[in-house]
Amino acid sequence: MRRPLHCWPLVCLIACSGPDAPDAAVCRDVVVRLCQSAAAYSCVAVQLDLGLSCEATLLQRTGCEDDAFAFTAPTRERVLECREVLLSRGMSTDHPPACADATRFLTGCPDVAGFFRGSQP
Amino acid sequence: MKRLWAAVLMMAVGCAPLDVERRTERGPLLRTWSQEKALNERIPFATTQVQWPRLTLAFSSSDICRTEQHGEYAEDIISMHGNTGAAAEVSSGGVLAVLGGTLLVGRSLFSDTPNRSAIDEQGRYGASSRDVATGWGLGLLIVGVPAVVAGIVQVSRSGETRETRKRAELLSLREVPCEPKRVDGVVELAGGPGPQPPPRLTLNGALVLTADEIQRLSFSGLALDGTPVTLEEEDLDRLETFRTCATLLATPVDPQALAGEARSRPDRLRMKRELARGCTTLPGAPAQPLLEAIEGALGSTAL
Repeated sequence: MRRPLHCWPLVCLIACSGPDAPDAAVCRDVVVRLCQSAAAYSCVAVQLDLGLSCEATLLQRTGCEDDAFAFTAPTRERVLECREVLLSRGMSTDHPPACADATRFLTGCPDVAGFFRGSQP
Repeated sequence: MKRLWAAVLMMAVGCAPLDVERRTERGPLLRTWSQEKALNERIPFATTQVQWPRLTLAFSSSDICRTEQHGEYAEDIISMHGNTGAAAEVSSGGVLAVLGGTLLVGRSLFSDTPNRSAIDEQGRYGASSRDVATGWGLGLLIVGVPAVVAGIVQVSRSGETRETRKRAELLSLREVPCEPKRVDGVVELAGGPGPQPPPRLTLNGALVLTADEIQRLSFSGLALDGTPVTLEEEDLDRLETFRTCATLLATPVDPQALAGEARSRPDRLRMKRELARGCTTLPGAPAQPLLEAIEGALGSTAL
């Protein structure tokens, strides 16, 4: 893992970052955020064609339950860019996004939405 | 990097202000000396001499000599350096530095595992507890150490310094006529209520006035060649006494009139008695008969 030396030590006073999270972790973070709350789930369930088991369906559909998972299309950078709207309430997954943010995630990034819908790019 | 930290530390310490309170204490008198100098401003003076029935005004031109008395003192300038916030600065800085140092020394006790519960916008995990502790430790040291050093420097620089210097002071100033020279000229007797008397020439620096003349002359000041003449207080008194006695002694002594005046206006007669006593101070003035007659009139009234 690469250590983020560029922010050490002063930035650590407030918000220092750790190493890069693997693609699988980033993917699972998005899945958790979309499925964690009923509000977000209700907004994305139809568009993502989800069943009753939101997390299990998305993890299986994207393949990111495997720790060796890596983004190809869309790329990691694209997923991270689209994920930003889901972070409006904080970095931690303890703070799930609102319905509006989840909707903007899907409508603003159709390619990423397609990835989570299971359709081929 | 080390130079940068050193510069920051120097600025933090060097810019620490110190309150300075100065007071001056006067020491003992070391020496005194006099300084004399002429002002080169010659002005006419006159002195008076009486030998009844004549008054002699002697004129002279004198310079003004200024005599300055100086003293030299030892003077202590005491400067009190201090800063009321220095102790608080050492205390608070020390607490911060100790806290920061403890965090740095004990950083290995914190977990080096990244915070996997959060992934930021760039896709990175949160910092490990060890990194956060290291950052806070360094930050507290950066704030605390300069505060401690600055506080210690301020405390060490506080105290009292004493500087002694000599100070000269003018103790007294006296201006007196000096280097008199006899002068001749035209004397004007001016300032009286009546017509101005004609000017008179001095002879050998003197002007003689008789008692008869001075009765008729009306003047309050003297001028020599147009320049006002200065008379010292003693000479002015003598001139006024001579003028008063010239009038007082011109009238023959009449005991009966004095007795009548003693009955009708005793206060006025008592005042006349004082004037007659003043006339006895003039050399040659025949004031004694008048004085005795007044005493006699007042004495008979009292009986």
